Amino acid sequence: MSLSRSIANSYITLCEEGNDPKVVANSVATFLKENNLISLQKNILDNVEMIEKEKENYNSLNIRSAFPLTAHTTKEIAEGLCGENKVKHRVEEDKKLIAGFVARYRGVEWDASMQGVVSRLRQLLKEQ
Amino acid sequence: MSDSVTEILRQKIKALGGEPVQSEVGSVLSVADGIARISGLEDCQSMEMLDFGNGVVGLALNLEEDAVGAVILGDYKNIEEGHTVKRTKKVLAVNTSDDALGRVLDPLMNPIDGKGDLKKDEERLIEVIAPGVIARQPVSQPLHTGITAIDALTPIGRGQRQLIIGDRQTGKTTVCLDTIINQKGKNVKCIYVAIGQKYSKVMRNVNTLEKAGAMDYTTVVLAGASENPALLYLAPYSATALAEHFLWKGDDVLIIYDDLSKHAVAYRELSLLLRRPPGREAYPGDVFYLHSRLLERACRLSEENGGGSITALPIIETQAGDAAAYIPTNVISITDGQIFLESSLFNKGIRPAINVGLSVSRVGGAAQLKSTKKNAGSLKLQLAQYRELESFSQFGSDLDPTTKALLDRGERAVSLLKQKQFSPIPSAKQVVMIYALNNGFLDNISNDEVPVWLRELNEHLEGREELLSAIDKDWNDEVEKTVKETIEHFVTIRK
Repeated sequence: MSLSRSIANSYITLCEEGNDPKVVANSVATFLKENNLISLQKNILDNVEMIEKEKENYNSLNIRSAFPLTAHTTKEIAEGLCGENKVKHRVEEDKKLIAGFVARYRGVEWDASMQGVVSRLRQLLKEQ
Repeated sequence: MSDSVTEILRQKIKALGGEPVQSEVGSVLSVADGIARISGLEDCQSMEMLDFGNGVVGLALNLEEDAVGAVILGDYKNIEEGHTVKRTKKVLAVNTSDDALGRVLDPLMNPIDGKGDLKKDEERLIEVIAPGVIARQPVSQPLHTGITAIDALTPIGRGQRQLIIGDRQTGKTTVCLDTIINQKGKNVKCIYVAIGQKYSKVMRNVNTLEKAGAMDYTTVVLAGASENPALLYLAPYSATALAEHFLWKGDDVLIIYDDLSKHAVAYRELSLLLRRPPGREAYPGDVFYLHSRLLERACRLSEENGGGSITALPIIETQAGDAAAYIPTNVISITDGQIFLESSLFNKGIRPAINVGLSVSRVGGAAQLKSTKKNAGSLKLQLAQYRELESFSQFGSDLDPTTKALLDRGERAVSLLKQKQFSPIPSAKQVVMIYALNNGFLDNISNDEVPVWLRELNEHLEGREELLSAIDKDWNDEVEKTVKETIEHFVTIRK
């Protein structure tokens, strides 16, 4: 892990633990000044943004569907896969799936698409 | 016909089931030089195969706090940031089968000689822990190379690791190919691992083995110079997995790693790309472990475990004869002996260019036939005395008769050890040649004539299977008497 990413990570962790973000930011600025690392400031800010985006992506339900989904269907999928329907979700249309959907939440992917079935069938026939 | 095909497909689709398939996924953070950094994949294992989609797989090598560093074993041009990567939950394993004999394979055991696919037999992990002490037995059976200098002076046993070390163009590969050719009819399966070699050179070697009829029992595993460094890194391990497929069936295997210097360089390249901390000469800190865990898998199993063996001949290329460099000293300390090949001897015409004084076999006489052991002792002594007195040979006629005799005998001993490439000599014939030298039969022959004399002696021994077989079995007064009479008969008819 690079130094700027490491500092960015520490900043986010401290904020998540309940510390005042302004106080934490001041501590980080002091640390950078004392250790002659002011040049890393921009990289740290970029990394904070990147990490927050990654966390948001990780904690939200991403659904790719072959056909448009209704709100009700999306809710059911969220409840079935994430255990709750209030999780932040993003739906995208992808005709390449042929039918069904592919959902991703917190590092786990569920493939309920026809494209997935076809590729598994291809693999099975190849192995035989 | 079409109904049955439809029915088969219907059954296959039914077998797939209707449930969504769950897999653990991550996203590519960056990809460069064949290395991808992937976020997510918290439960990823070391050496686990990762699926990048479109048939591209990778190998997880770095398990970091916030990312996984993986090397891509395929085309990485279409992989970009945000690309989804799936865990396969399978640690790298290769297909090993008896069909691999006679074939040229890549490090993932895929055929590259255009002779069709291999049958799927046993899948073996490429990284395994070596058999423990209890599972082994001491090395006591010889592995004959067919090269007199090695079989007599630095003998190799089945299950031993013997290093072949020397500068470039000193005959290291030739010694190994001679050894493979000499295994014909001896029920030893051979595996030649070409790491970082030129494809043209490897194909030339394959042709040589084919001409000698050796490819029937040999597999070539090739990771060429232009391959991904990850494949160069994996080649010796996957080849050893193939060797273990035969080992655990009770077979004897000879495996040659040509060469481990290039293997270490490929591993260095991979480690630096993975941003692992560099150590001495920029090699990673575990470069010793890289070779020790590989070579420890060469062993001789106990009879309860089948009695099979893997004999390893690793090759190391030195620079300007420096055997005290980092990687050479590492491998010297791991192996059970080394054979030094020197450029100066090669240039003088002494081929194989083995420095008998520096070469050693830590197994030694335990892996030698009784007949060879009895006769080779004197040969070693004569060579040692010759080396001591060699510098005095320039004084010619000013020397006393004893010194002159020692020098003459030593010169004939050196000539005896010279051998053409791809011309292995059976061990029994070697014994007869050495006996002839030790008992003065060569003393009246000029040094230039010695190779011709020995060649004619070998021809004289053709057809004397009973004598050669007796020499292989034992060395006693009766055998010695027969050998002496045979040589005397040869000398008489030669006159």
